[in-house]
Amino acid sequence: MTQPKFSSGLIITDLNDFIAPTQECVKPIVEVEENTKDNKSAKISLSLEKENENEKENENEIEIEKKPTITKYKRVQVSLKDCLACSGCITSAETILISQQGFQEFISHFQQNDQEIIVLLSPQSRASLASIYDIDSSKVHNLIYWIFNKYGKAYVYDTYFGWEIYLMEIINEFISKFRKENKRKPLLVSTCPGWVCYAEKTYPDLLIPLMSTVKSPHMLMGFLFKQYISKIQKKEPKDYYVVSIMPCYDKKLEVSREDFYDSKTNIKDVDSVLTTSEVQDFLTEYQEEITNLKFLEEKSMENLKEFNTINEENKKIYGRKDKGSGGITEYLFRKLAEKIFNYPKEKIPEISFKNLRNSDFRIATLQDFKNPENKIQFAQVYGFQNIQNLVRKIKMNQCNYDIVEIMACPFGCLNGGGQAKVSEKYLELNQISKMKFFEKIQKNYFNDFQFVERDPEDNKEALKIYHDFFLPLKEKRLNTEYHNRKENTTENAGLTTNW
Amino acid sequence: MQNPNPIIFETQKIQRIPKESDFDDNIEDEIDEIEIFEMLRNIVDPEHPLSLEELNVITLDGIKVFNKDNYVLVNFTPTIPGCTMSTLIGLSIRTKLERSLPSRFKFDVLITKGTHNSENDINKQVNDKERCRAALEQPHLLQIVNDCIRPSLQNQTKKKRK
Amino acid sequence: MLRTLQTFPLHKDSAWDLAWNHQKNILASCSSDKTIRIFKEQMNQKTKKNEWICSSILEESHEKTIRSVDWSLDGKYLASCSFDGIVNVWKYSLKNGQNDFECIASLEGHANEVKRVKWIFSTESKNLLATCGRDKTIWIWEQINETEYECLAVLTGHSGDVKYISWMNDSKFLISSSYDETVKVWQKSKDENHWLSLDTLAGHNSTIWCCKPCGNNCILSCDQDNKIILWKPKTDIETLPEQKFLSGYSLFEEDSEKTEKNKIWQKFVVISNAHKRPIYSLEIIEPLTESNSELIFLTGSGDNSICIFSVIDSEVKIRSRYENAHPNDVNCVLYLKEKEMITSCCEDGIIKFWNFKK
Repeated sequence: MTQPKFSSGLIITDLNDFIAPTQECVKPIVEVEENTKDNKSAKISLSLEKENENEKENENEIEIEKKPTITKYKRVQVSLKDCLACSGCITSAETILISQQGFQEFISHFQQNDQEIIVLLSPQSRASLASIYDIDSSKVHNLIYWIFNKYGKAYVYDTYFGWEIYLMEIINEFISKFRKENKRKPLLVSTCPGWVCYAEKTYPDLLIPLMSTVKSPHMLMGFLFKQYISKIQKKEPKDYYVVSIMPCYDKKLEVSREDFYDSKTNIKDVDSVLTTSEVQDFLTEYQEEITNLKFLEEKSMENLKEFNTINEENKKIYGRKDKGSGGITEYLFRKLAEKIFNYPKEKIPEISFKNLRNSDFRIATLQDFKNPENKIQFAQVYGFQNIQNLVRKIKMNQCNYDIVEIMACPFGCLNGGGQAKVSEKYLELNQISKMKFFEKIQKNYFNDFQFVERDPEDNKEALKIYHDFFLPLKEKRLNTEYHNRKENTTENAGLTTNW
Repeated sequence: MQNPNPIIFETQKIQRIPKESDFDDNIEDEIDEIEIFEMLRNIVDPEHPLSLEELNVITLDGIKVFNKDNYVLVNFTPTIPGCTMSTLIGLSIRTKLERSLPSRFKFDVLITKGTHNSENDINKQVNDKERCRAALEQPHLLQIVNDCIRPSLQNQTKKKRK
Repeated sequence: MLRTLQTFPLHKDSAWDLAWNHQKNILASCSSDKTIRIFKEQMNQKTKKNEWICSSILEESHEKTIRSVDWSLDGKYLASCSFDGIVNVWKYSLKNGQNDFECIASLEGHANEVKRVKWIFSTESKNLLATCGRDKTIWIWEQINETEYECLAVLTGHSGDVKYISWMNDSKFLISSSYDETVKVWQKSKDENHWLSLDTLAGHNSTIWCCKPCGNNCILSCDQDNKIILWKPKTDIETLPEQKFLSGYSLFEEDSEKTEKNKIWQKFVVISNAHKRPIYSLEIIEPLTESNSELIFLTGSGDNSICIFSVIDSEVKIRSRYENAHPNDVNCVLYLKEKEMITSCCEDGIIKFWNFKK
């Protein structure tokens, strides 16, 4: 069983040395209202301890209860949500909760429920699985379809559509901020929950005002299925179970955020996350069927046409042509050239990055077509140490970038902590070096033969859903909030302080 | 609260039977188990308004003093094997000893063998002087430790010790 | 062979660490009283003899215990790190013959207490700083200029509070020891700024307070259980294949930690029960070299004593033991060859200068 490995930012904010799996974290007790037999809720009351049995109650006093009852404190269930809410407490207890989101739990859930399974496959996980099983990226869809349909009715989509909505909104967000702000401030753009957790726990006051509030493509797609597709298919949100396959464990924390959970209807936007390595672990049983390509014998899956991941004409998969984390900076560069600096389409420059200290901290400049003095400065910051340097610059007001794309993992999402693991044996057997293997994953993420990029605005379906569904209730549907999780200043602060 | 109904033990009326040498100012009174017990018995649990003696966390048997070697060993027993307040209780005991014992003494504060699931981890943390020092520099934590220790100050023997 | 020269009961609370500058003429000490004291030698006008005096007190720079101080190799900067999570950099200069210190930079980043700070020169002769702390990480910083520092790397790998770090072979290797009972050796990858865990030395059964290189790529470490271990490398570490170091990618399983054949350092000598309480500090008096096979080192312990050990091959001898060197735990011992002096500092705040004759 693979051990969960969070991004560095999350590990840094994990301050506890140990909490043994059997111990619960110290959470204040929540009193529970118990229902009486009449189904009317009545408050539990403490029994009055009378010093002298013969003492009579004052007749004017209202008797609280006729029978003395014992206060029962309900054992507090600590969920992943709570752990995120409580500051600085990502403990081994949380590791247990994370493992509850693994494949086993997912399977047992299905044996009890009759929901339609929606699998959201991230392009990085797809690339990872394609590389390790030596199959085409397109065939990974078949593989996932095959394995999940063993447990219920499942459909597989990749997150490309979510990306298109995300990118359209990011452009609008930047344009509205760019035109408002006089002073230069970076817009911190990220789909990375590791970064969000880190910002909320260490420098919330400094960073939250700068962070983009657009939901990540992952959460946008989950929301889309549960709230939009459900209506089209004349179903209820609870009829769907959305599980995503992601390259890191941090995504598990993302889906547990209270902002992505509706407590009234008890619906989560995305129900659970499986990492690529968890899927890999599970597939070890089926190694033979995979090598023999038996999973291809399954009839091709029915996709919702709107989310079709394959271009019908050239049969290429839609993908993003970038280093591996979604290509936000590259897209912003091209679109802003068009929309803010009014470059004609043929003249839009290719983005050209300049590495600062290393390839994980690089910058690019977009100059105004007519007036080269006007510039937009982009920065791409990957990896914890680079994030540190960026935050320091921001703190000292020395940050001159307009947009910064941030990812917690060095080399980006293709190198996520949850990607399929590669052993020395595998490398020896296949006569391939580590460097070459990583290049293979990069090719399976995007190459000009199998993949093609699509401008979101060329996708009529995305435009329609963006304008008709998302924009009208933007605050709730497109945007999210961040919370200051820096210090626990409750009464129990001392009791939960870790040292 | 983990253990809302802890068992309360009766406090022992431990009496020291005075010896003749106690009244002789020229003979140094050795520090013994009873004196350490006096220092610690009234330290209060962080959650219940009860003393460590009443909760049987500190007992006379759990204390060993080696005067000639300048060493004190205190064993304490958490109320339940999963008690998460154990490190805090250990820290309070340690802090009380640091403040009250003559500086020639070295001491260890350990969980009574077999009485806690994470015995080794807790012993390690409580006996790491650097960790304890840093802990007491955290205001919230210091406050809680001081609150636990305060009730025990009233019963302090006031003799100056070498 | 140890004779007290001078005693300084100046710190009002525990003195934790001492550091000599590169020119070996200034000593810095730090304490829980949140100050740093600077000592220098001066001619006493009355006795016409050289003596040490406390020439400056650096105050109001940290909000909590100052745990460690270290001088840069060019002698220009002093770094101090504290339980408040901050590392301060002081600029040292001589103004009218007086030692002057100015706090020019504050490095933030560690999530909680910073335990140690150690300077070194990078291969491009820039000042590099390594810091470690309770957040289980080791940070490597580069001094871009006096007031600007850039974080080069954050080393994660230890599963507990990192207590001590030291550099070996200039900036080629970094050794760290931790609450998690292991010593790790780190090396910088040749391609980019990635530091990789080259080896994890397991053999202690308690928190390791100090780890230092003692010559010939050997490592000496001491722990909470009064044990000292001398580790020797099995192979020539200069010639290890580069492929081994290509990491930073989380995809590749870290089995280098698991297989015995990949382990480089091995326990060579284990010294147990030489002290009765935890050993907090080690200092090498005579390192192992091609021409010297007798390792001589000092220990400072929680049993108030300072001990001098000699190790030839696997034979250990205690050359001398000074019980009651201090009335309380000895937190740090340093050796100054040029002046035949040992300095030590104690839990009660006292700093002592000793004359040491081999």
